[in-house]
Amino acid sequence: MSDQRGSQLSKEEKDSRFEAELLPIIDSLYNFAFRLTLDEDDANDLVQETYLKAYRFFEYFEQGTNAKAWLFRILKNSFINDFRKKSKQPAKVDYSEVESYYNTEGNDNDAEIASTSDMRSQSVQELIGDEVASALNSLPVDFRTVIILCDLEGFTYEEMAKILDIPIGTVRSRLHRARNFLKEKLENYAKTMGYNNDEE
Amino acid sequence: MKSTATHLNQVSKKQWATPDCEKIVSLLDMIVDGEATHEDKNYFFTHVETCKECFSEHEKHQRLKEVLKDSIQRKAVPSRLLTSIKSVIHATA
Repeated sequence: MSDQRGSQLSKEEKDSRFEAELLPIIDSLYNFAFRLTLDEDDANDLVQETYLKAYRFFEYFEQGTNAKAWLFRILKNSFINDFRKKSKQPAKVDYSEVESYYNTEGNDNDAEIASTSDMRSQSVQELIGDEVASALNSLPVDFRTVIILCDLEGFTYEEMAKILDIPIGTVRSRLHRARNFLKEKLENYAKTMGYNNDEE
Repeated sequence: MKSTATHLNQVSKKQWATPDCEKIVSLLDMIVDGEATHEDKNYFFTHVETCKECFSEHEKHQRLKEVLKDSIQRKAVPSRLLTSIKSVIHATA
């Protein structure tokens, strides 16, 4: 086992180690960036920036440790510290959707049913997918982030706490609140679509 | 106008039948995420066997996790992104 640090490697060795260990994570990283920024170009820029930072600090990365968590942490910090400030669409939290959802609850079900009735021909799976994505996107970014890390990327609570720099208790409470919000939102959607799984 | 954070708090504050149910609800996330201790798991599943409401909450929590995983489409990484990262790195001293 080699314990050569990045700083002691030749440029070729460093590049080849970097590519072998960190580039395979690009798919997860790009999806994380897209779910944070909700924009393909922004996700592209954020991932590129993350890899450049990772390259610059590669000597601090210990071989054999969790490369995915390390990159996710860099990306999340870039998003918070640099990217959100200069992004053309900053936090992109759809507060109006969250507000109107609560304010009109129960009042516009008829309208929703009318507007969804002509979409029956679309596949149910596709509709559910769209609805789930839109519910997820309507969450404030801190809450959206824990759902992405936990449910889409499969990180443990401990890994999430390290990536986000918050205590495990905060990870848990954010997850709990985010899930309750999503459950309620999707249950209401299921009712308007006429399939309520609670009535068993 | 209420903030989103307030809404997120409110949806969590549901009234439960017993203090046991409240504890079960606080364990839900750790159970579905595979983070609960052996002891918590025993406590949880013993309660859920006899409490309809908690059984249903567990099902909903579990289903939400599966729906999220299955329905959120993954984006394909643009091929130019990988090429561009490699070329910038190779050019960096």
